[in-house]
Amino acid sequence: MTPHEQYADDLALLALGALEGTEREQLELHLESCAACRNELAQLRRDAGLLALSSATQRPSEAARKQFLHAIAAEPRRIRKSSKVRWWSRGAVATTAALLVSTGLLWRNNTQLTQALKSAEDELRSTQAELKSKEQLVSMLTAPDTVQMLLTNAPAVKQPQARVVYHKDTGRLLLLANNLSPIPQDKTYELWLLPEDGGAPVPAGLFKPDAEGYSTLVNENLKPGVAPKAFAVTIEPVAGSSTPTMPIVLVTQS
Amino acid sequence: MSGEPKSHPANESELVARIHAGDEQAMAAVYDVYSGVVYSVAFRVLQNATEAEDVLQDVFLQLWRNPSAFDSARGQLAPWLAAIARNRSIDLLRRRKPEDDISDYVIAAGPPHDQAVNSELMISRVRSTIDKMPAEQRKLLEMAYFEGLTHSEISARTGEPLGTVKTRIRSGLMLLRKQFGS
Repeated sequence: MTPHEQYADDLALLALGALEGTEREQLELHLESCAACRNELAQLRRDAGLLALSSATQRPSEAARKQFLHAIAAEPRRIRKSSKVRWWSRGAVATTAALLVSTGLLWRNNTQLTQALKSAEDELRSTQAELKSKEQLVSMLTAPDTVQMLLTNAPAVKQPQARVVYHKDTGRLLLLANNLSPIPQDKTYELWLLPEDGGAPVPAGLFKPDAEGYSTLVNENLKPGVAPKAFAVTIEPVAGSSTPTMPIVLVTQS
Repeated sequence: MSGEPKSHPANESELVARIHAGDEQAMAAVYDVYSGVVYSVAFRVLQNATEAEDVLQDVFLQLWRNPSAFDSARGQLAPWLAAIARNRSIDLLRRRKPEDDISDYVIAAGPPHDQAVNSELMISRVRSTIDKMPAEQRKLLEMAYFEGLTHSEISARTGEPLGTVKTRIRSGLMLLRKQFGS
């Protein structure tokens, strides 16, 4: 399918943002019903994008670089609090609405529908519990007194690396790891909290990498109030251990 | 100093994956390689170093906040970032609020023309192609792309008939397409 020749020049102008007035309105109307011209417009935008590369003759100041690095350090992670919470809130509202409708039907129906009500209630409880858990996690991630510690065994690009986000007062913890080596089926990685007071290492959760070496661990059941000196990772039997088995494969950077 | 990328990262998708994971070092690496390209586009449009650096910050912060907007399967980082910088700069030039979310550029601005070439080579080829264009045609493209002028404004400034402006702009883009084999 080829684009309409009578629109060819105007499509090029539209791709550059240079078309205006009635010609633009007519073309946009045409695009609503013409896939070939939409495809051509997308291609022309890619062609136009190449023009941007023709002007690489300047470099920004070093101050701009420092400002940028400072800015990303101030935003240590893109926590999608608003969208996530809204999504789950919408989910909860939708589930609640569905439950109310189901309840109305159940009043005039039989035991089969009673079972459906129970199922819907279970779903609602599950959704609410999940919502609460995620809200708590978001709250922990965004609390000003939550600390983050980076675990790594070397600064090289492809070395295994993990980031721990831990809130002492609630005992909640999140670990994000990447470039992890594959691990045998009968083994697991285990995270340890090394207490600041020199106490025994505290098991903080088990995790395994996916095929690309990524892993995520959420632990909301650590004993609250334990101040960490560091975090470390060891390889343990698949059920985990109560004390770490040497060697330590990842440890918090000093 | 040259604004061309200092070096081409071995694997852009890997860097972006690390940015996904919150790796500030990976984000800094991407900035170091591509800040020259992004800043140059912004400066060329705005002709103002302070505003160009504002756009620079904006573009890279958007990537930091929303790295999934870039799809390495659709193209390379350099043209993608540069096109975002151009659009942001034109918005600023026109003193209007930015209209486009970064995600909107996934399809519009990442030319998957040649996955094999690196950014330095791509820049060199683009410059070579544009340098070979007739001066009048190159000027029209630059007025539309870097100055954000409409075809009527270009026609008024150059004295060229509207039809000529349209045809030359389109044939210039076709020439770029032909050179990059898409």
